[in-house]
Amino acid sequence: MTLFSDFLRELGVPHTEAYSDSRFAAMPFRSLFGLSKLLQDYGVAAQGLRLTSTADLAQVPVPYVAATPRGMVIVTRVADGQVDYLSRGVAETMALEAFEQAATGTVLVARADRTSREPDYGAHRRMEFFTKAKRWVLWGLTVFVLVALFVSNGVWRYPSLIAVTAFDLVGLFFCTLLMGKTLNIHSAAADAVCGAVEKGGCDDVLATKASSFFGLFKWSELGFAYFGVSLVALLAFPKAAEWLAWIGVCCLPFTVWSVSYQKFVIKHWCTMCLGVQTTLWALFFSWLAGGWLGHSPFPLALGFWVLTAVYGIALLTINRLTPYLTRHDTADS
Amino acid sequence: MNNLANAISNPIALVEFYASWCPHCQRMMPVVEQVKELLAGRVPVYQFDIDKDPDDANAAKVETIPTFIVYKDGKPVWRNSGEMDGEVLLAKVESFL
Repeated sequence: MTLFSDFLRELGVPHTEAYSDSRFAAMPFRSLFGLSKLLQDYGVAAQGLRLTSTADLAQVPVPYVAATPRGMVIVTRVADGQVDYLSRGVAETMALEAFEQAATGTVLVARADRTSREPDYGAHRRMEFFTKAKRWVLWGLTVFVLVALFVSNGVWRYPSLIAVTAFDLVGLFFCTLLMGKTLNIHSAAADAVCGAVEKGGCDDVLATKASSFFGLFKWSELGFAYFGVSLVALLAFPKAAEWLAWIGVCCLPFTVWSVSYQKFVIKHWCTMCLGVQTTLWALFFSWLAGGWLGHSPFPLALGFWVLTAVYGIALLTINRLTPYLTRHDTADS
Repeated sequence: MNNLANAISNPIALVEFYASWCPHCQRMMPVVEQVKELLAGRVPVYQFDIDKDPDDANAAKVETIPTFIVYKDGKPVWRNSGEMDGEVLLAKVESFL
């Protein structure tokens, strides 16, 4: 979601995110002037004001867009010496005095009426519905296949494998959030999880060189590939459980290194990384409790190497696809 | 006096050559409109349809569209063909002020 969509929502103008965001991304001038022109297409009267003093910010009727050296923000409320505003879709609050110092004094005031709405709103709304429906169908079919495999292949008969399935899903969840963070895709869920142990800790840890494997793959990509392939392999081929268990053991040294690195080198804690590491140990104990580590995996059969190759294919594919994902979130301002 | 001659008689002017059937030109239309608004009172902006003003297009040696030319004191001082960012176009014209 972009600043433009946020502003339309604050103004109560009927719009669709996809169309509004695309228009915002294609705006000829990424400025208050450009924004005012765009608003005109939505039937919203907009006017740029250059305040003689930033102290006048409290007198401007909300919502309005204020320019700051770090970009545009949407002011939603000014009261009791505080300013509530949206910055990159995140609601924040700042003391009025501090905000007055941060703002440039240039604002865009807009007023919508009953006729204000997105051009071709009806058609765009239908398209938005079908686009969302496609996403839900994809999720529905995926869940159906996983549940069907879980039941038909008898995974549900082993409590330890039920636990492994659950922990693989938890690991996938953490790695999805981590990938979002790594790609700078804003997520309220990721922010909530990251703030649990140390606010901003995830960003501090992910900003280091150690967040990638020899600079080639992000650990989040590795984790996503690992948990994803492990889950599908377990559900589709439960006979591979012993190999999966031993591969899980091979991941444990990474957890020791990662926790040590966070504690002694970076001196910050990444909650999601800790979540992944805890999940890897939970998986290990599940495998152990189920007796899946009772036999030596040697000599390694061809199937083991095929499984290893699938991990590699998944990792390389994710690594190739992630740059395309970032392009969807570059329009925000 | 034809259109182009009128345009270049200004101390400085931005001229665009376009065609109604050209998709790149269509995409540049809102950009040029906004540039025109931002340059109002400082630099006149002229738009010539090459199908309606072929002589002007030939005189300006236009080979592709859209083509943007900045004329200063009657002489072309900058030209660019193809789509371009509004900020870039504006900055380029303002650099000659």
